[in-house]
Amino acid sequence: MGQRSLYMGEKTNPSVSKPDLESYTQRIKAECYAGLSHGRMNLDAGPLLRMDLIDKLLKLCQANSLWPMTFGIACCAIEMMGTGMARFDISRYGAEVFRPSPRQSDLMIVAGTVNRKLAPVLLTLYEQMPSPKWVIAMGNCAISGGPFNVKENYNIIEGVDKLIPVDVYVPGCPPRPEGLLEGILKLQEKITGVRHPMPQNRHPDSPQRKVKGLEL
Amino acid sequence: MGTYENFKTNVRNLGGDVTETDFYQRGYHLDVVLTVNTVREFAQTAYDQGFYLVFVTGFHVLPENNAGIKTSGLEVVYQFAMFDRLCRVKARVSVPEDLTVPSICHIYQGANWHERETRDFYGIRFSDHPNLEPLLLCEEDKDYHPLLKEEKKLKSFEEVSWPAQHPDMADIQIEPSSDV
Repeated sequence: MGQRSLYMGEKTNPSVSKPDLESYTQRIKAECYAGLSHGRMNLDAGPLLRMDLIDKLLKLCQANSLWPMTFGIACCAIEMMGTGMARFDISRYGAEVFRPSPRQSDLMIVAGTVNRKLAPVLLTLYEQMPSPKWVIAMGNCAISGGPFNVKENYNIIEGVDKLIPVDVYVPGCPPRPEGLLEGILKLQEKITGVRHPMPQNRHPDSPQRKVKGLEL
Repeated sequence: MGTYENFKTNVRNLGGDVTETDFYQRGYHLDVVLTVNTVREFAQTAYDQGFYLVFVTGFHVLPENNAGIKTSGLEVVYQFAMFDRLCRVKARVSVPEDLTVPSICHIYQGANWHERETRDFYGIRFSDHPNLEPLLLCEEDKDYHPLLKEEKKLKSFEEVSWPAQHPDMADIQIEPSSDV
């Protein structure tokens, strides 16, 4: 990641020598007060704070504690419930806390058909979720409209990605619980950049498996 | 509560066309054809008789031009049934060209949503309906009626209605229900 800017400002040139912090801060302040920053906080924490490590740690925490929203639309929701129950046990991957409010969730599993009447509801729920937030499109309906995507249908949203950004697509009609679990693992992989490091059901005495890319 | 024969007479007096049908073939005992002016009176008669409303829906056929009176091609269908004995009544009314049919939801409150649904799908307006807003479709589709057929796919009423004797039922003799 290297010189990652905290506020999406301009990247600094690493070859420039250490800046005079006091004058730098004063200049930024003066710019802000004078309105010269054109509405953009020109703060670059690059040289001041190294966020890489804590960023990685934070993402690892986020990935292993996804809080999905209780939002079952159609029959895929039955599989989603099955995933949450003891046999498949989504809590092995830290995603078992299904929240009844979007304000407390960071993962929306769109488990079913989205029709035109539901679309504004879905958008509102997505907007009510605090960032960072992720979306899993579960099942063929959420991916493309599925079996309902025919000419005669007047009411279908042809894929939930027409409404909101989708991170992981889980195909199936409906997908098996293993499919949804794989989707969650994929999402964790997307968040942290590595495949989930430790199978939770592994016996502690079994030999350690090295995971490439995870070097905290 | 009147008797079954009384009900038939009352409906005939309203100007409704009543036909007895084979329940085991059609699924209803009485086939009633109404005009828009008699819908409310018929509903009131059925209500007084003790019928409950099963559904309200519509369908779309080729418009007819009978002696200069043009129809819209839309029909509204009501079905009524009874709790205390087996008796089902199907009533059909042809929708005039202004697409307006009297609402019966002041008599049968359950008709409220059925009529809203019928408006959604066919664009039939029910006069004096308290809240004729879209029920199943979204607000943006207020003027879009998905179950209206394309012109070339329209069939005449005779084509879509039951034949006098269903071919599968021709050889089957069933005793009519004696308690009706």
